[in-house]
Amino acid sequence: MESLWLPLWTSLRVACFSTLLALPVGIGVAWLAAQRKTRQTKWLDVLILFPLLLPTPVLGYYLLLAFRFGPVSSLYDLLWGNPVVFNETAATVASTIYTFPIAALLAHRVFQGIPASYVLLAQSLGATDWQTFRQIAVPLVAKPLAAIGVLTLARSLGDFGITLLVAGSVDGGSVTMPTALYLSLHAGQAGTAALFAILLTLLIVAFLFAAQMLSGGRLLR
Amino acid sequence: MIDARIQHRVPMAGRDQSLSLDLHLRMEPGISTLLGAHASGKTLLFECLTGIQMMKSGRILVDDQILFDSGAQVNLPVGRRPVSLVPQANCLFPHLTLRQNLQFAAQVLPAREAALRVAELLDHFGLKEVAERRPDALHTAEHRVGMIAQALVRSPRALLVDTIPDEWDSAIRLQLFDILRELAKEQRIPILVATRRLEDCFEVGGSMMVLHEGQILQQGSPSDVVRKPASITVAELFGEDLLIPAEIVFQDPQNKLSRLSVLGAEIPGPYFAGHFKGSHVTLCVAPRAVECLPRVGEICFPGHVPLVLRRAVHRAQGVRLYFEEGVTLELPEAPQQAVQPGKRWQMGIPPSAIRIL
Repeated sequence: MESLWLPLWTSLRVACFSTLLALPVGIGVAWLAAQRKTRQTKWLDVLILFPLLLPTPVLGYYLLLAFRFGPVSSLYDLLWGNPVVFNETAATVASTIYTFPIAALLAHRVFQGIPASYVLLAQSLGATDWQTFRQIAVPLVAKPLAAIGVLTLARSLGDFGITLLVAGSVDGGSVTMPTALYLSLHAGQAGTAALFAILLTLLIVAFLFAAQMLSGGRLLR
Repeated sequence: MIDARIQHRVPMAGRDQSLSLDLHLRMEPGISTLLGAHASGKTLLFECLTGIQMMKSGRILVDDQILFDSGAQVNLPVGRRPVSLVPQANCLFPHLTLRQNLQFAAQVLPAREAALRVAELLDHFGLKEVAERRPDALHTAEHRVGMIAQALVRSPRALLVDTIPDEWDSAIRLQLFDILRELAKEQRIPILVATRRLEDCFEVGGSMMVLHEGQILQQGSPSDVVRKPASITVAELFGEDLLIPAEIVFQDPQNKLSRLSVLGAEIPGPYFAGHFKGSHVTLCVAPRAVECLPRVGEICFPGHVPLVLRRAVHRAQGVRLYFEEGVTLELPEAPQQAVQPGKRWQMGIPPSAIRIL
């Protein structure tokens, strides 16, 4: 039974932390992209779509190289005394990169729904961009953003490709549920694999319902 | 005082055309109106003055401060310009109470000054009672007055009020114009009110500017502009509505009725609040609301105005009839024998279609 609960808790922890990272960054980038104030913001579209289009093993491969040889890896090693790869931190970063485009795309759509008159009015009243974002834009779409938070959480449960490469299947913490399902199938444990599949499905359905309720039944509108 | 020379062009959303401004606007402290049809450039002008539009050419001065000068490469960003805008749509921030809406605008002031300014404005406009309500719980007039208060928080040196929605009833419009007139007197700043309706220019008073395709065609008092249009284009702008001199001969406030003497005939009208028996007024009537019929002999239907045809011009859309009395109407078709010069016609005006200037 422990082989079932451990990946579940690992997945939930990784999902929570990666959502906490991906959601604010996604919302921030989406807001900047929706404003289109400078020429450079056009490139934010590319930044949002790139991780979504790139095959996850390729993303995982680049991340693995960065974790092995990059400055972040050295700093992490120096601070914690072990490499950043093949542990829960690596799984969290992998999940964050996997989840960020979805958070940003959905938030972009939500921000585009804010009437331009509110933003223009805020600016004409002398508000800074940060004040307009924090005091007007975010509260105006607080419910849809909360729904996006739940969807981001649901999405971050599902990464397999990047996580497998950077977090591997090291026992004792870094095996998430999709990885555990894959390993169970390989080990010929069809029953366990089915349990993981059902558990993941139930979780996603629950998150979808929660998001639908938070958005007032207007998830894709 | 506002002194602005603006040359600006923007593409029109969803169309191949563009909207351009090429004008010189000069306004002294006091209230003025900016009359222009849809897409004449009213909102674009306001966006240029407030800095929402990134202009390329022109110069904008408010008092002695340069807000924009393409030559000197001066461009004060929106929010730092001493010009406030009351937008066209009701757009107090819906998630904030009225007080919080004003507080949001007051963030540019020091904290203590901000609190005092918000309290002062809520008190001044009689909004204290509704200060803790959200915009959706405010009446239309309260909402719009709240927007004016919000625009005044920063003590601007010019106030721009964008087009008031056509569907608002006259009571709200009059209340708003009263407030703006008072404000112009107290603050001694230029206040420019954009409108699509000629009668608003008369109600607001002060000077009016006629804006057409991004150009100010005429400026002056409303009665002068209507009496002496500077060009055929200006005359045609007013020509959409019939302007007919009349006298109020009877007023019945209980039944909300009146009777008007128009071109020698007496016709029923609505009750005109603030006007008295014997008042000489100008009726403003939409031609599409008018019933125009040839007369049989000398007989004119009761409540109809007799007219004599001067000439008729056949056009692709129908027949345009020019009457001796100065009335011009267009009909989809007319009997051949009735469009001879000198033929007698009659015009029925439903009371509901009558507005007065």
